[in-house]
Amino acid sequence: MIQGLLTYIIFTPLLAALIVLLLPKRFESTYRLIALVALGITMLLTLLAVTAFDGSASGPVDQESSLQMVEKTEWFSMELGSLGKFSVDYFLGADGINIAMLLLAAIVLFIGAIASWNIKQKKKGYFALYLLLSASVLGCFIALDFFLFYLFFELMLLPMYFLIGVWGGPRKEYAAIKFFIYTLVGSILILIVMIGLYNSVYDPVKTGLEHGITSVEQVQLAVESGEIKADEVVKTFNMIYMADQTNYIPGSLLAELDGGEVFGRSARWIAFLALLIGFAIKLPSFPFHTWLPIAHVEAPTPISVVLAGILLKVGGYGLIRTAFSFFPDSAFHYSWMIGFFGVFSILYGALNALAQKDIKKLIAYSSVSHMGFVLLGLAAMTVEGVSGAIYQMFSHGLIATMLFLIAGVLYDRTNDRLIENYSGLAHKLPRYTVVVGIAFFASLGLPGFSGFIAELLVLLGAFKSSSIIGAIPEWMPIVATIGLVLAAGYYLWTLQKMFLGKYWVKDSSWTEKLNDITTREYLMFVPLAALILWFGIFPDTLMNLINTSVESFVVLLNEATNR
Amino acid sequence: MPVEHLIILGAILFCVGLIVVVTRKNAIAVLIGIELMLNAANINFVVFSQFDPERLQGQVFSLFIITVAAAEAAVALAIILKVYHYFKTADLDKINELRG
Amino acid sequence: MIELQDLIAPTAFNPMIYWVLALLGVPMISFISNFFTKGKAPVWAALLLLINTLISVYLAFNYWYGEPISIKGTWFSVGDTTFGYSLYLDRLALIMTVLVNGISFLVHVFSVEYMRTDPRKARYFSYLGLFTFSMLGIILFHNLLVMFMFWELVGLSSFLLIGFWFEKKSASLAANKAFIINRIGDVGLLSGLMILFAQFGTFDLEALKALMVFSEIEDGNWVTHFTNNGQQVMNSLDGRWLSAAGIALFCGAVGKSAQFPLQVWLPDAMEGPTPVSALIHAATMVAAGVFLLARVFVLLDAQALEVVAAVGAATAFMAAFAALSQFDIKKVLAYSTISQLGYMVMAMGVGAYSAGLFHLITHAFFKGGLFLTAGIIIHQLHQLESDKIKFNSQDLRVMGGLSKYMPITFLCFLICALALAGLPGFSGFLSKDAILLNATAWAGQKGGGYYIIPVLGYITVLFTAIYIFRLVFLVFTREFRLPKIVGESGIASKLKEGNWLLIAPAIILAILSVSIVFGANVKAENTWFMQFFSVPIYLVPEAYAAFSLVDLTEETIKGLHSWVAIVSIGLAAIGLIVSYFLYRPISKKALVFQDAPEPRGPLGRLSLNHWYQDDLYEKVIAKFIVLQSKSIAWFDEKVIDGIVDGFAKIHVVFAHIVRWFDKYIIDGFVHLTVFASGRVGQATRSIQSGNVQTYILSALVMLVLLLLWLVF
Repeated sequence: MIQGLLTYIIFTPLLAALIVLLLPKRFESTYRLIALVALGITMLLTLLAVTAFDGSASGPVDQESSLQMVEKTEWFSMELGSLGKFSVDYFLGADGINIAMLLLAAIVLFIGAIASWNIKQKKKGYFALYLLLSASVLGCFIALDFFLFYLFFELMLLPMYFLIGVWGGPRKEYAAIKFFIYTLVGSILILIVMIGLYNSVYDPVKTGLEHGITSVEQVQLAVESGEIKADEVVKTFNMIYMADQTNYIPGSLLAELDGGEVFGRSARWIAFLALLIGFAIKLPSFPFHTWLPIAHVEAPTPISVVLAGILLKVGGYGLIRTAFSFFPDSAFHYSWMIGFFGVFSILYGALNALAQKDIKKLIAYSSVSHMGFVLLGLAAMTVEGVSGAIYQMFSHGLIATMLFLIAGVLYDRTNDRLIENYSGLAHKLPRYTVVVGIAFFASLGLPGFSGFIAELLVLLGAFKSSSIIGAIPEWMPIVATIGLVLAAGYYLWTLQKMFLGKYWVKDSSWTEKLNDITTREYLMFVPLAALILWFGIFPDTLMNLINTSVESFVVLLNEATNR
Repeated sequence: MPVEHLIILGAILFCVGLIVVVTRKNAIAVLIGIELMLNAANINFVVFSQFDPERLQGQVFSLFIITVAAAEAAVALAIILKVYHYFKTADLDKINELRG
Repeated sequence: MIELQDLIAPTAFNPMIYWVLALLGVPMISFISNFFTKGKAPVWAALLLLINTLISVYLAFNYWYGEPISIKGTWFSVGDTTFGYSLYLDRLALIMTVLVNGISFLVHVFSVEYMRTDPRKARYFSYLGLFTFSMLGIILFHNLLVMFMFWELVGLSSFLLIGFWFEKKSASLAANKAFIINRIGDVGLLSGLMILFAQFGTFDLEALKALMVFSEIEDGNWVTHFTNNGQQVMNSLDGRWLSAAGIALFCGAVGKSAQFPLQVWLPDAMEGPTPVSALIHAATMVAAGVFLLARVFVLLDAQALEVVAAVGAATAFMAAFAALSQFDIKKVLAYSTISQLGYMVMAMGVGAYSAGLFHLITHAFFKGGLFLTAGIIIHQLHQLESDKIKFNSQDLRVMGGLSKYMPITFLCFLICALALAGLPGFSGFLSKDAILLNATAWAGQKGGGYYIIPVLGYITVLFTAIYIFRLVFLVFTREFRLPKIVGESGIASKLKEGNWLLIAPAIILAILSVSIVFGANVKAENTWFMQFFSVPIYLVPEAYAAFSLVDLTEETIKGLHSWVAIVSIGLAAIGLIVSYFLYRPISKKALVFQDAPEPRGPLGRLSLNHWYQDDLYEKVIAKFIVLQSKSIAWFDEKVIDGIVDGFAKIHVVFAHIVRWFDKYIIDGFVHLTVFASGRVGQATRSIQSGNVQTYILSALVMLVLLLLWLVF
């Protein structure tokens, strides 16, 4: 076990980015190698972290003691007069909820680096930005200080903006700006809540140090009883403390008891909604999804992969880590709405996918549909539902990666992605067809692939919800299953149109360009397919990591509904 | 000779000088007017010096003024000469470069 | 109080698991290895299947009389819920493994010849391996979740095999249709799983049954008490969910077993190679729905069972009617399959558990035999096709008089046809009779409108006899019509009997369709099969439980028995006679059959188009969904995205307004200040005349004024 493993995970790509920037242009051909090696090392380190992670040891999600591989040092602090002390920690740690995401991110980023192998123009900028993006994504998942989290969260936007805007397709500027502004709007909502939380939450340990009390409980009692006044506490951005309702300063804006009101409603509800919208944009959920299809279509293949594979998951992860953890009572209050939007996204995304002519757009809309399951699972607030949501994020990360790579393979060869321009490709590209078949069937939730386990768990949890905690009604999962039929519809329809039947392509010059997949592409597809299968047949691999954390997370939610 | 007469003389001389300064168009005439005013001041100094126990300060002061007036006349005439060279006239109404 | 963990606790190691693994593993090996075997695939795959058949026969003989073997284990856990797997070898599982393996082996042998010239035959045998693997999975596992997984895999292999000749657009479309329609059923099954899981927290069938006993109806709520890890659990759902669970589980069977309203995929599935139709779409896979119903039989409540019975009867009748006027030999058999599956489902619905299963077995043999013989005919006719001569080798109009050319095939076909028609002496008679008897008894108990279900069953008997003998007469009697159609008389002499690879499996299946196989008597109750499979007792709460045939007295049964037998034999005989008069060699219809047009009357068209159900789905529902999706895509692009872009545009417009404001108002103030001070300067500059004398004068005036002010 290496000390500071998580730091190495974040800083390896960052260091590599620096190297790429400093290397003169003469060594241009080595940039991609540097990126690949750096992300390979990152992946190995992540695997090390995952193997070192003890899934059974996790405790409650609102206690720092349940974290593993914690790194916590004060980053900076300033006295802000009557506003108290402004202090930000460099605080990393892993629990069951983010370890899965970290693993996914490391895998997808590495595969994205392989997919970037053929980038031809402005290599220096591309690889530097890609590595920067990698570092910020990884950081976002393991940062447990809200300030640090937000920093990484925002830092993702910048490289993404340029990666789409410079290396993208014909409408890249529009796509990049739309993506940037859309997500920025979400970020602002998150920022507002972050400030509100900062003003409402105190750090019991540091407060204790200031007042000479060693026991956290005593500090909490003292603050509650008013012995330590509200302006004498040390405020904090610590997300773990924020999840514990006793750490809220009594009478502060977002405190559960005597909390403030905004627009005549409980401030906690508003804050929850703000976080929900902020992360729902990222997820994305209907009606905040329209940036996704255009961004996916215009982005270069590896960036689509990272976007669908990981960036969307930041939304889901953010919901679990912040919105649901901090405001479980509000989450329960809005669970019907969240579940509804989940179900609606599932059907809406699927119906949209059915009508698409561009295969990449189809995949993009199918992502909307699949991410709806995440919302549904979270809204269910049951162990199965939340596990399913996390599993769905993980599994969709792998499957969407594969799907976008598939679209990339075709686009690389012919620069055309319209479904109607191809027919009977199975004759010409038999191996590619097998890969497409695997990816499509995995995505439509065929048992044996990871997507099935995820969707099954979400549906089971969602149905169970009404009789266990009453978060969402029974009809929601039943209606959601229609999405599975529609998924079979749009994938098989595409498969039939493009790959089956007689061989025909719109432009006969494509025929010589259409070569079956290369070794490099095999290197991406085979491990992905193997992983998808593995996680479909042996779900315990992931479940053992997340189980205890999810259970305690659900306990947290249930306690809030009982209060 | 009573003091009043002498003071009135000074005053008349000053007024004459002042009128010359204000009314005459020629720069040299103005300069002459200034000289008159200075001399009016000199007369006053000399007149009031009789009240000085040592009877000297006023007279010394007037001697200074005569010296300064001479120097001033020299400088002023030089300026007027230059002005005349530049503007080809010594008529003050025409030389209004400072007009805002 | 019953403890859940006891029910699903992993069992101690049982060496039987090796056998089960072998049963599943051998076809899996066939699936994987045949990606690489190329030319040797057929023999290799057939060999593997032979091994598997022997294993299953061995197991059946060894464990037939013993207690069912149950092996349980954990698969994964979520929170404190354990998702396990369980294997269960009872008589049903044993006989089904023998059946599936046996027919699969025969079909492998048949396919060796049938697919000899196909360039991608290795892939074909590989898919057959996948199918056998997943089908055995459904049979061997006793956990609804795991069964569901294999259930979907069966759908996948069916998709792959129907679309095996994917160059044909119709084949790929049929494959899609089969998968998607099956998915609709599967989604229903999944809903059933959700309901059962919410109530019982497990998918293990044994545990479900045990827990079902402990559930009861309280105030219209379906309540189950049990302990989990020592903790009391009380799960409660609205009572209607109990019926819903049964109907939802049945939905899976509706999809897979091609019941109304999802039966439309099966006729299209005939696009696959004929041996596939025999194996998957006649004998085994489509029977999986019935098998599932048998497995969950005791969990279905009265309402669900009534739905099952009604759907089964309707399907049986509708499909038999449709089979009357088809021209494609495989289509006739496909509709016949749907109709017979309807019988089985109806049997389950009326509580005739063992009769339904019995029919499953007998049907597998005779329908498999019918398909294989049809396959021989198609294959042999296909040999006659050349570059010059093209015809549809499945069309009845090109056949006729084939008994002369293929006597053995004819004999096999005839035996299987007699079994299908349900004439005494053949297996179909026994099982069909049992179903009709039970249905009649059931309707007798319920009375009134419920009689429609056995009546539909009887009408189906009549139709079945008509359409199958229509086939016999049109295919095998009179003279070969193909030479007349293609105008080449020499072609007839080229038609030969199929070789032994084709004939042998058909012969075996024909022999198995004789009633003596199941015991030398005419009453179904006395066959060994019915003796071994007794009707289980319903476990659902009493308020919702169905009436059980077990409750019927033997006298009632006996009294009904001869009546039912007479009526059904009579109807079959009438059917045979009707068919004979319509299609006998010298009948008017048979004489000009080569030019027979599609039926024109309303009834005829209804039959040919299968009640226009396909049209309804394609032209109304599918079209509606496509239109819907297009309009939603439009909505998304124009409205939702439009709103977003609109926001952006509003921002831009607002920005322009702000710019205007900034330019003219804010900046205007600045300019105004400048302008004002300039004006003031302009106004005051005249004082600055540049005239020194004026300055002096004004200074003087000011001085005077100052003095005056100081003095006064």
